Amino acid sequence: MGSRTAGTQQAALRKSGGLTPEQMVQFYRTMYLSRRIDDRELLLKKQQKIFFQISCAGHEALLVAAGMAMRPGYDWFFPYYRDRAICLALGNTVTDQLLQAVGAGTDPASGGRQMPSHWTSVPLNIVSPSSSTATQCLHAVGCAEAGVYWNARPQAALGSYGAGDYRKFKNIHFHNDEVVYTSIGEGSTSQGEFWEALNTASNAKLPVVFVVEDNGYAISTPVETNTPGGNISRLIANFPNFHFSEIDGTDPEESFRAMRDAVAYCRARTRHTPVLAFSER
Amino acid sequence: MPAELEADALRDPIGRMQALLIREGILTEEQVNALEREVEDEVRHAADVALAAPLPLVSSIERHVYSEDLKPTDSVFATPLPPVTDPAERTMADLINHTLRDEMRRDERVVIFGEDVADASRDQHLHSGALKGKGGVFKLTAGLQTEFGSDRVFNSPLAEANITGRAIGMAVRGMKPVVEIQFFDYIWPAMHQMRNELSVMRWRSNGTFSCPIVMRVPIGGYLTGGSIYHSQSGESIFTHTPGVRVVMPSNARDAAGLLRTAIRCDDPVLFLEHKRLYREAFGRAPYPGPDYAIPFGKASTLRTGTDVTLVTYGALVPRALQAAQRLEREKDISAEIIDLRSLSPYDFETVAESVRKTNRVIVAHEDMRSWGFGAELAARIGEELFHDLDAPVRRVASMDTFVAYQPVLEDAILPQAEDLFAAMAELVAF
Ligand SMILES: Cc1ncc(C[n+]2csc(CCOP(=O)(O)OP(=O)(O)O)c2C)c(N)n1
Repeated sequence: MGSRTAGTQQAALRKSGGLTPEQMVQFYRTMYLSRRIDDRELLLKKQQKIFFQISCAGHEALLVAAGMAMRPGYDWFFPYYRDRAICLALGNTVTDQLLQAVGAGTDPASGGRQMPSHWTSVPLNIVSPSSSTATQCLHAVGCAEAGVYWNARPQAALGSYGAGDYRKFKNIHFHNDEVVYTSIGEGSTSQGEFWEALNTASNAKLPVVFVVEDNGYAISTPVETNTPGGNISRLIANFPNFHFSEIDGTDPEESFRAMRDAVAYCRARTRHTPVLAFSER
Repeated sequence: MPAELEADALRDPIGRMQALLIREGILTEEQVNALEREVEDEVRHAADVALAAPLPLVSSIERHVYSEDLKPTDSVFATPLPPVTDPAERTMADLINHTLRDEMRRDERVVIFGEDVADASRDQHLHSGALKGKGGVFKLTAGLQTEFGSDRVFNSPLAEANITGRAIGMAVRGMKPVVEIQFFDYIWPAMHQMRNELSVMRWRSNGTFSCPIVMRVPIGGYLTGGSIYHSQSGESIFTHTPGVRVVMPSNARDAAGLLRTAIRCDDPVLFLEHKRLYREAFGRAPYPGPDYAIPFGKASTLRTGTDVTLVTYGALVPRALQAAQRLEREKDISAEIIDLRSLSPYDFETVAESVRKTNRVIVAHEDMRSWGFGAELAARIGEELFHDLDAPVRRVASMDTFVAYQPVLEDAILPQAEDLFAAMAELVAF
């Protein structure tokens, strides 16, 4: 570590949203790791050792910020295929991710059934996704509702059950300040299921952090074709009970401050649902 | 475009953060380089591990399509009928409502939601009696919110994907949502969630996540005036999706037994309730008690016969029985009537046994003839029972159109008892 005065350290800590120098290094390491995995996958794809590749490049700052602001195995995660870096920040290993890329039998996410970047981990609470755009937003809402339900009726989660009862096979855990994360590309916000999820989250004031990752394009289609006015933030602004921010998602510190605040809103049960629009443009 | 790409490069978050770390004196350039080399090694090593990893076994392909631990076909769900305590004959609607109530009492993880299923959306009206609530457009969930509370029985927004997607999210956490889609005709907005999420959560996660919800769906026609959007069938679209169980009772007792299994089992279940059978005189039964269950995949032979087998389910069951009685009376033909009850899985054994005896078989359903459930069944009978057949396998089904409003048209479009009568008579004469 380089040497810094106490004063500049204070200022730096404020700017970084409370990240210590060690955490800043960890932040950078995770971003860089994510990028190198993408590079490696591109190479493996060229060598025809893997059969598909989805890149997280450009999204790393906001995703590592999200991962560092939340708690793996405690909070719940419904990321989309772009979200390699948050999964690494939560504790997914490079090996985990590459085992899925090669379609290994020992791929812990899907046993070789899903494409790369279909993040799944029971210990980290990363719920198995499809490749469909926007469906995950409703799962995140249901997951948050389940958290509310279990906390209100903890006895329902207890008991031991015999044959002929699905409850025998369920491992239920919950926390009264848990938060649910879900993310989506800006193009996919055109899907009805995105808006259906916002409706219920807003109505029920659910602790879900919605992250819209705006990289300007949905495959080849520019944002203005999907989003009237080209800016999803403005369209969402009138939903009740939402905490809302629009951030430069390529700025690690700004991203972390925003994620930290959004998660804090949910955790404190202010009954406000954060919607964050991150731009990588 | 090149200018746009160049601007992107300047905004690369990795470059930005590296510059920040050096500028702030958190890392020196040498330290950055060392870190990057370490990461590079980690990735290379992981790639070597991944490339050397064992491949999945072909023999494992079918694992986790459904629960490996608890099968709804298991004999644990074959409970004997208890002695009748209340002999009152109840409708299918009644016994479904009863079963939901029983299961909600037994299992606090069960929640019910859907369009208009609550007794009242607004809590102040729930107990005041000022506003008489719905409890479902067919009243199947009536009284449940009043007994179990508004966090266990509640109205959803008018959005079928919302209902299904949220239920999946809840079930992943161990809850047991028993949701209602108001009419089968409006299941289509939920189709995306059903086909790409609900059915495949367990398989795609290699058995680590599951979402065993129950979707109750009123289905079918014969309503006189139900028309295009309140008469649809279409069960084969869902039996053509692995990972989901599909059942369709024809009478009150089966509805109770199958619904109980649907709720207690660990697979997603599409529970199809024929609207026309909800309150029919046909198929009423006394309350079979709070633990009566029927395993999936077990057909019920409602009438034994020797000349021809008719395999059917749903609203064609009473029509088939009517046709069989008339055949006996007028033509001295003895027809065996099999009610499949459960469509995925279905009971081929019972069908095969019957065909080996009668050597003639008709598959009949209310859904359209082409690409329907009967097409698969007929194909399989042809494949596996060819040598037992004395006549071609026949199908009776609705026309390949939509169901029209005008009763004259509706009657012609949907298969009637007379059609079953004629088909069986013809096949026996073949
Ligand atoms: C329901 C659905 N329709 C179409 C696709 C095919 N598809 C995959 S990614 C994609 C574009 C998504 O763009 P965006 O939401 O902006 O996210 P990005 O990939 O840019 O991060 C499309 C159309 C899909 N996966 N799911």
